[in-house]
Amino acid sequence: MKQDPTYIRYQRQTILPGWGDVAQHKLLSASVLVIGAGGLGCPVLQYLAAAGVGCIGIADGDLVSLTNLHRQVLFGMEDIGKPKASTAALKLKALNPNIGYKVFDEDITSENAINMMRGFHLVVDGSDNFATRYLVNDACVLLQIPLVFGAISQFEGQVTVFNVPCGEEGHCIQYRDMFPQPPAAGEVLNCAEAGVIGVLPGIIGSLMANEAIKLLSGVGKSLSGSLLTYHALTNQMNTWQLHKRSDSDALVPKTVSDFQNTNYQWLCGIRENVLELDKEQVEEKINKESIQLIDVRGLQEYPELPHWDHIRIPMEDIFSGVELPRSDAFIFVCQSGKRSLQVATWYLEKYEGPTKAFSLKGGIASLI
Amino acid sequence: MKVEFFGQLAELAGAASLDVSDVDSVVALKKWLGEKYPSMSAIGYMVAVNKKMAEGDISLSAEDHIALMPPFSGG
Repeated sequence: MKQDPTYIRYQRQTILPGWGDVAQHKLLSASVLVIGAGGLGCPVLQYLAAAGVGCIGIADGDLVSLTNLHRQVLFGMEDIGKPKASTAALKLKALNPNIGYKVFDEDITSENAINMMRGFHLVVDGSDNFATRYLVNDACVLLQIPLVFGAISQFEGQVTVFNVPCGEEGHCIQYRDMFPQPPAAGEVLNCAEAGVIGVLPGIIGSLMANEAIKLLSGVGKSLSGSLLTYHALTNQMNTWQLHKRSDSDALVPKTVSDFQNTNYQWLCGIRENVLELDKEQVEEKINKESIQLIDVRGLQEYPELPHWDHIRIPMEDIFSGVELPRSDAFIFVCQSGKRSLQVATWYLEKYEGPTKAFSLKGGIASLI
Repeated sequence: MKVEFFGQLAELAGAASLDVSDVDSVVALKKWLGEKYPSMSAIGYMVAVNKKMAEGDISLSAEDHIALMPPFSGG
């Protein structure tokens, strides 16, 4: 029995006081979904795979780039241009082939999140933007899945655990207890804009892996109810007692379908990047979703928009409040893409709601 | 009272901490900071009083230790 390779692999932690076969067995029976195989995701994945978490899900739609390598230490030069999630899985299989891996080479969205997360015992958020952080938080609150949270900025990091009862009253703290609403776009910078020291996600990611391992093995005390912060330049480490806000749970979509209809990019003020679609993206959307195409040019303007079913409502009429047909989303088009972008931006500013608005980039001129 | 800044807030304040007097509540402190550093108001930061996160208005005294924590998105 003691010569069993599984026993030998985990022997150094199994002999720990308070660990033993019981805690190891709990880890081997557990499943974790790691969102983002980047700076935080890499160390989280390495330690969870090494420790013997039974099934590890990896979700990331990004490709490895040279600017990643100073902190995303799972990857090497030969991986540049390859998908992060499946590349990470390959490296982890070399480290520990005896556990299961589930690879999602796609970004988590409000459409795919619920299916992606279902069945996992724990989610670890190592994403790199607010839209994903609020989306992951809300999905975990809805599905009641514990969430290990970690985030970094320049030389500082934050770690905590959400959706695990804490304190005397057994409240479950979530991200919206700390920050009820996302900041305005551009107010808080990400790693690409503000920079990050490479070793910091290594430290914060290791702390996240530690929280995940404690939660899954049942050994030790988790950070649930406390926020841990770390400053790499001063080594200052603090824990702050978190508080259950009276309004936080009401900010999370009530049902799976409300959640799926929430545009988190929009909530985080991301407009320009998602607003303009090219011909192929329009085609894809038309085939997948219920979408209304609206030509916003004057009624006398030609040529007629080719290929796609559409209606014509001139921009001036839309601005003066003409009622638009009911639809999950609108794609506005005009001759060059300028007026349609203006209309889409105006629409999103004016009507707060789940309806999405897009603009055909380059306009009808790009189709002909 | 000592007010400590984290993340981007320290950059905006130009210091890791400040001694602030003449404010007696969290709301008054936020208002004072917003006037001194207008770009701080756009960041929805968390306020901790003596290492405990505070919700709403809480009265403050000179001995209190305040920490202001912005959200981080990086990973």
